[in-house]
Amino acid sequence: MAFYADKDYTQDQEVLEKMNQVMAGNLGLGWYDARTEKIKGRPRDLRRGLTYQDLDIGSYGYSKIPEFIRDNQSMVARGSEKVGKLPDMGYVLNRKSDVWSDNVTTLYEEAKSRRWAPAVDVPWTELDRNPLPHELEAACAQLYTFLQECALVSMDFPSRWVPLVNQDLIELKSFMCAQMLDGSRLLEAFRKRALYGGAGLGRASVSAEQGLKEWLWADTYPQGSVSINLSLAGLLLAVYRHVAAFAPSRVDRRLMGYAMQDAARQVSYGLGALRYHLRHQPAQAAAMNQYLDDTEHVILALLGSPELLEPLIIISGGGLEREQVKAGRLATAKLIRLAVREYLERLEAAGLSGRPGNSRIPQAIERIQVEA
Amino acid sequence: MAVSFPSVEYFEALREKMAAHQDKFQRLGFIDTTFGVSVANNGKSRSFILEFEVYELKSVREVPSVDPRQVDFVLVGDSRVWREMIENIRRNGEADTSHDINTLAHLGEQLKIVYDSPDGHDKLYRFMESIQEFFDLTSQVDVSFNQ
Repeated sequence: MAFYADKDYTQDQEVLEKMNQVMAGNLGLGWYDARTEKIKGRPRDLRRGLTYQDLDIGSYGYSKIPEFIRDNQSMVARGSEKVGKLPDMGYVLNRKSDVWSDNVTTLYEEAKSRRWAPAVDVPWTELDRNPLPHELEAACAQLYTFLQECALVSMDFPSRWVPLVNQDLIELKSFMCAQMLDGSRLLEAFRKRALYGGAGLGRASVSAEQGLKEWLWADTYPQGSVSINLSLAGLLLAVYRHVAAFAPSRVDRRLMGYAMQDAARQVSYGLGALRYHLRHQPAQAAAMNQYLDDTEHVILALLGSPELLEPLIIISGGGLEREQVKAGRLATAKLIRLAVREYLERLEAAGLSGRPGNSRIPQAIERIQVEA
Repeated sequence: MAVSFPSVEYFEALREKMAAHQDKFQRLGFIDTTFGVSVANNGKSRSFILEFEVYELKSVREVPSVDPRQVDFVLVGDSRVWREMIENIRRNGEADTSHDINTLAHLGEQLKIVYDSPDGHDKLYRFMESIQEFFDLTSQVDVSFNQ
């Protein structure tokens, strides 16, 4: 599929002539009096610098983006003067409440401010000074293999949708790009951790990948966002917190500390986007409930994956001895209940009331026996 | 001179240290959250509200109790747990894995995280590295315990 510009510009004598005229010093300055608002953006707080929130002013502000974007399908920067034949970009997400969240500009600025670099911010060489026992290192390698699969999907989801979002939603598109960067950074960090320890990568998870693909290819952005930004990110946030709490090394603790910050931003957006969607399109609550009825099973595909569950048990218990595995099973069972409870809390907070009663996940979790 | 824990003076001392280590907090990024700290002892509690903005602790005040609707989250724990955390930080220069905020609060067995909204709760994790760094500044403060 290709797009061809309205002409071959090397063949357009008028363009070449105008270019020569300008280069000869005969400036046309047609743009100089663009019919746009002349206002200054200034930082409200110098400590933060100039933020997107500071530019929510006049006709340039994101607060004035209408619910239905009817008159702009081109890549024009919002607020600039439109002239001539601007190409139709074929955007399919033209309704603000399908993608927006009230916290999106805050999260975008925060993502940049709280950036980190796995190459230098993780104290890798501590693993040389204090190497882990083989079984713990192997468990870590498997865990970080699994987390790479999840990070890839977190990166792919915004990548799949961002070119389809109307250009008027500049700040949202910027945040989606920040999400891609967050996803790629986590992928990088998990890969480096797995390979630094010497145990190599572990095994891919069939159940997790089957489930992740179902979430990634959701029919609509709001549905996919709930799955990836709220369900997956919320689950991973709980896993990161858990691994940080039972971290076998300072390297793992530090890495998980950063990872939880990135995941928490994603969750905050996911919750905010669902809330905004339901507030402006309350009739979609039934459809969203139906979607969750159909796809929520993926939570079990992830949590039930031995490629996740078993390394979590070994890391939580500190090893493979009988008592360690027992302690690990008990701790991991608590993590699973915590993750499911928080998932349902977030849906409720977003406006999807009654979900705990409808969801099949709590009952499925209750059936899992963890004998002390 | 030692500052007592819990007290406004303790958090003010951390605020001064935070200001003195701006480079570290700027490296970690914006921290925009208001949360409560509640320290229980013998059936009584002392509660504080800490308001962070950009890279600073903007204000701290003691309150009779913390309304979770007025803050993002509240860290609630027995004075024994808080004391262990502080002594651990003083000993090691920073909290070890068993004594950092995340571990103490993770399964609600040492500290409890009380919150009205998941949005507020998630802020604990959005800003975790800065919050932990803030408490780790205790290593530079002489602390006594009055509970």
